[in-house]
Amino acid sequence: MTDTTPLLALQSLTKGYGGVLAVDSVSFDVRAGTVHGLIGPNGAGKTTTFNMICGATVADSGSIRHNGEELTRAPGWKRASRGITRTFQNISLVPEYTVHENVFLGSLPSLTKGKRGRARTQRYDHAWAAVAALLDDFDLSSVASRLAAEVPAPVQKRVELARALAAQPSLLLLDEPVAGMTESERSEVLMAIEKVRATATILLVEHDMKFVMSACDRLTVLDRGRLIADGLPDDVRADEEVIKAYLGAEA
Amino acid sequence: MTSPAHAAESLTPASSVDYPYAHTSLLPLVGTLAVLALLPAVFLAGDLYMLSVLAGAFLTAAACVGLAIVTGWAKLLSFSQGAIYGVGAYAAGIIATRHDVPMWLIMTVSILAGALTGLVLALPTLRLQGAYFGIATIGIQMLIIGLLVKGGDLTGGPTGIAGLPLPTVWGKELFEPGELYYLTLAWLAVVSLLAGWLWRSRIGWEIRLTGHNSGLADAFGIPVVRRKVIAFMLASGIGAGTGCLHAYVYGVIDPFGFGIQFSAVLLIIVLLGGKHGRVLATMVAAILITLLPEYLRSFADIRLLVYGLVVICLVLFAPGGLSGLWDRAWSLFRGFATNSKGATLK
Repeated sequence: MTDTTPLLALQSLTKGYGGVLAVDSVSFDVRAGTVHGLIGPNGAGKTTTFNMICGATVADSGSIRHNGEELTRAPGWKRASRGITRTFQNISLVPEYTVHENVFLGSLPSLTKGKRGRARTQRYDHAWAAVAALLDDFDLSSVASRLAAEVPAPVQKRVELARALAAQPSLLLLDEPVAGMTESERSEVLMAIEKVRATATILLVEHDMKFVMSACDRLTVLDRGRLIADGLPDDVRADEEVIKAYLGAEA
Repeated sequence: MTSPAHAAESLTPASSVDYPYAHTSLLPLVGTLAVLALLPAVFLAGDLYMLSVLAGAFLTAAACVGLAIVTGWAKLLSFSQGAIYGVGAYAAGIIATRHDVPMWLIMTVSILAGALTGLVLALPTLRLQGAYFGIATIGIQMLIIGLLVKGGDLTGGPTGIAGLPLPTVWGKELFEPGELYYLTLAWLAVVSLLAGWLWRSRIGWEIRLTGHNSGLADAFGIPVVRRKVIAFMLASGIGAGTGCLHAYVYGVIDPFGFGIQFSAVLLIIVLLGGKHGRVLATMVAAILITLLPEYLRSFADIRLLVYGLVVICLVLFAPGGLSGLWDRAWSLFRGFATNSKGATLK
């Protein structure tokens, strides 16, 4: 929050599928230290934007800069090695690994990347122990040696979050973190996000307005591929175009 | 002994965490190798036939441990390990029958030739998914054998190459079955310990993660295609090195010995070892499957039939392979141990 260059800067990002512009010249910044929400009705272009940031899709034009570094066309793994880590909408763990091992997977890239000072964990055993501390943070110690396939879905979600943090990301991308969850599970995820925000900037894509309003410091609203609002949650909530887009979509 | 506090303690696994994958100990592997090293002294002294059969089994096992890196770890079905084994054998045959070059040097050349072949073949094919990759490797297999058959004077055509020099280590020529037993066992030890060490290393984790879920690997900064290329090169280097040793041990090679049937046998062995390609399980499966026909000699004519049936039954009833069977037995044993503990508490 101290420096003025944003952690992530999107400039006129555009992506079309067969003549239809899924994302049409979208520009916004994600500032370091914030929880930033990317929202909009169905077909607004949230997922396409998300995919362009994490590298699952490549933008037709425009630019993506992370910490000033141009990453628009970089492959996904390269972005991940630069500190952009994502979670998946459908929980994506290795079912035959234990919870501990799944979280450990997150620290693999940092095992030898000592240069940028992100990794105290040069050695394998240190990384393994660091994971144990992380598991403690996320209340996962008691299931550490259980197979990932055996633990309930909300716990798996926490495992995913812990794994993402094991990668020591500077920017954490959350793809619909509370999709299909009950109210109490949502508040659990909300608490986990509160914990995460101390160490990483978060950009999350989400449908659920209530959740977004309570979790995010800043919101960007897309509708039919265009950016229609960008600002503080309260301002966005009052924005007429946003209300119209949401009511229009629901009517 | 039966205080409630003690009961609670025994139910929660405290701070001891199982590391079934990460911290797979090398001890069982080292122990197995040690047992194999002692076998000739204890049981097989003088059983020259069995010593030769086992030497062959060790070569197959080494080739399979290599293949397991591609098929078990990276989950890429490869039907071309047999041909790449042949590349190593022919590299040895072509050089050693023409020039007076020490064995270790030819071995090195073979390993590099294999790894290079792996690299050349991997680059265009690794972007293929699942069954398509498997089919591409069948093509590779046939292409290499075709080249060996049509290689004219260089490869000796369909008759292959004969008259390789004896394997020589530190100036000593090895030819007795007992000596060849230890030569092949030494190679298997090198290969399996290397693979066992790789399994635990970062690169091993990364190769296995690309096999489990390539999207996930990509999202965690692992260059998926590069890791698969490395896996393929490792498997090919090990395969070709083993082929080179094969050429020295038998002294004769022909292209058909490295055909699609040989590749299929290697692949079946890896799958019987277990779907994750654990080193020890793959090794044990290779030795058992090679020994099986020897013990089926009393069935004479229907030997191959019985062999085929045994393989089919294993696949049907133990789809997790040897390591799957082991895991099941182990969890049953642990379940039994905890249950009996629980019973004494009441």
